[in-house]
Amino acid sequence: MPKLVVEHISKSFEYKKILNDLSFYVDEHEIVSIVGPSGVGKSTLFNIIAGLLDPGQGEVYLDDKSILNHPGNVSYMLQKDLLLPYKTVEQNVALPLLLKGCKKKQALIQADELLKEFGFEMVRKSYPDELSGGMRQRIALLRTYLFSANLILLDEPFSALDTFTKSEIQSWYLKIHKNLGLTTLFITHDIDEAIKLSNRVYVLKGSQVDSFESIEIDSGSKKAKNFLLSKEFLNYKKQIINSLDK
Amino acid sequence: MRKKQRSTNINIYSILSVVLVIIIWQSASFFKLVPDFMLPSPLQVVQAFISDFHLLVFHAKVTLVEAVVGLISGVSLGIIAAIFMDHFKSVKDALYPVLVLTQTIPTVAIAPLLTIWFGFGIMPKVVLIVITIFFPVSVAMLNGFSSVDADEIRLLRSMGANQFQIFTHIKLPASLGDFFSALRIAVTYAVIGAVISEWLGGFVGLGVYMTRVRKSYDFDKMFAVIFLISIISLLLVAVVNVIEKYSMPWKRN
Ligand SMILES: Nc1ncnc2c1ncn2[C@@H]1O[C@H](COP(=O)(O)OP(=O)(O)O)[C@@H](O)[C@H]1O
Ligand SMILES: [Mg+2]
Repeated sequence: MPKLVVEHISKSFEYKKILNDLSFYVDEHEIVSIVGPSGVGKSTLFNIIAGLLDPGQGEVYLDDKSILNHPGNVSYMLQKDLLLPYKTVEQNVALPLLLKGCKKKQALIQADELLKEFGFEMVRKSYPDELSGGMRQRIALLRTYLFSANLILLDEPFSALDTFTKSEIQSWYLKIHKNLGLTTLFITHDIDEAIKLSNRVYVLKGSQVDSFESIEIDSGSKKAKNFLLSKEFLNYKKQIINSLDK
Repeated sequence: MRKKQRSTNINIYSILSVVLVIIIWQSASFFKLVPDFMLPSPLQVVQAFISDFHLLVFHAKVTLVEAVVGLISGVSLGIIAAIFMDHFKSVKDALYPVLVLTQTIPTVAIAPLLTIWFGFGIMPKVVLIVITIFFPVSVAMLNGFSSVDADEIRLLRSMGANQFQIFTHIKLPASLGDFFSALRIAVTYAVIGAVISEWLGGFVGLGVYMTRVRKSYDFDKMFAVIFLISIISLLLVAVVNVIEKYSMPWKRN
């Protein structure tokens, strides 16, 4: 059953058409990526799904209920970790619970439990400034998760990290995605990252109406050793680049 | 660690220079370079301070109450105005020029007017202080509010936060730095505002005491009260610094 269904979304800014009649879906427990060059409207699409932006046309359904213009239903994370510098790690992670009206003490207990589960208990009283980029991004992910495990939107979350940290955190994310039973919609301009993480990849280019078809990444071939150097991987990459060029 | 050491060094130097000034001053009086009635020696000032101590404390209390009441009212009004200006652009457009205008009002000129309107009690003093500190506080807060990262606000909105939650979780803490800088200025303005206001109309307070001793040419007492006013301002600034340190723990290291 699809978790998220996006139907016929269009969006223009002033006279410029950014998104044109876009439809797609994300099934439960999938990781679906949307790749595309910058400026093509990926973040705009995310803001619409998050309920922060009115598209004017189209519908967004989460579990069959419309969430158009209703913020607060899906978790949302950006390239910047956006950990609030004025709050400690545990206060940051507890923030979504506080916003939902949870008692402060209860929220902190829950945040601490989560931090402990992921081995971050030693930094729970630290301020974000004291942590490395990779660490901050993981903490931000935990905060996103604590907000809602329903559907997680990630907008180029790892693109500011260096290659090693990035690859480490990608593996970490795959692991927690599986363990926590998440559903993820992932935006990236990094094709390798999309292939590595996703079950399916959508290619977004310009504002043409024609096919917005997903490319399925076979999870069997992903398990192979050196998948990133394999022929299958290169084939996927070719396929994506081709549909970008079309 | 290193930073700490440097700041104590600065303190030692500043203490040294103050001590040096006092030594030069004392010697100037001692060797009769300046006549006593024009410039009393530091020792005479200290003696005056001790002999008039009870009187000074009595007047200082009045001035301090005026300054603190004026400070709290002015800061509260400044913050409220900033919140409204931040929330409604039309309020900002309407209010901002008026605020700038209040800054061009010469305090000394309107203090007697305030006395005529509000009498010789605490009211005209408080009003004068509010007029002087309202602007720096509201502008600093407005600046702080608008320096907030738009993405932080978008994130909180995506989590379903309402305007009040966005205010308490982001805007308020983000503007605390600006707030305390403004508060430090406001504190000194408040003390000086109270004294000036007492000068120009009142029966009690350090400003009144000052006028009296000046009229009787008690320059040693005059200096004693000047120092007392400086000390009060410095102590208030120190209090602000301590509160700042405790309310912004993320800035501590
Ligand atoms: N609020 C806005 N007003 C006008 N134009 C906008 C606004 N937000 C985004 N755009 C434009 O829409 C286009 C798509 O932006 P965006 O969704 O951020 O792209 P991407 O995330 O794919 O890089 C860009 O050309 C951008 O300039
Ligand atoms: Mg973007």
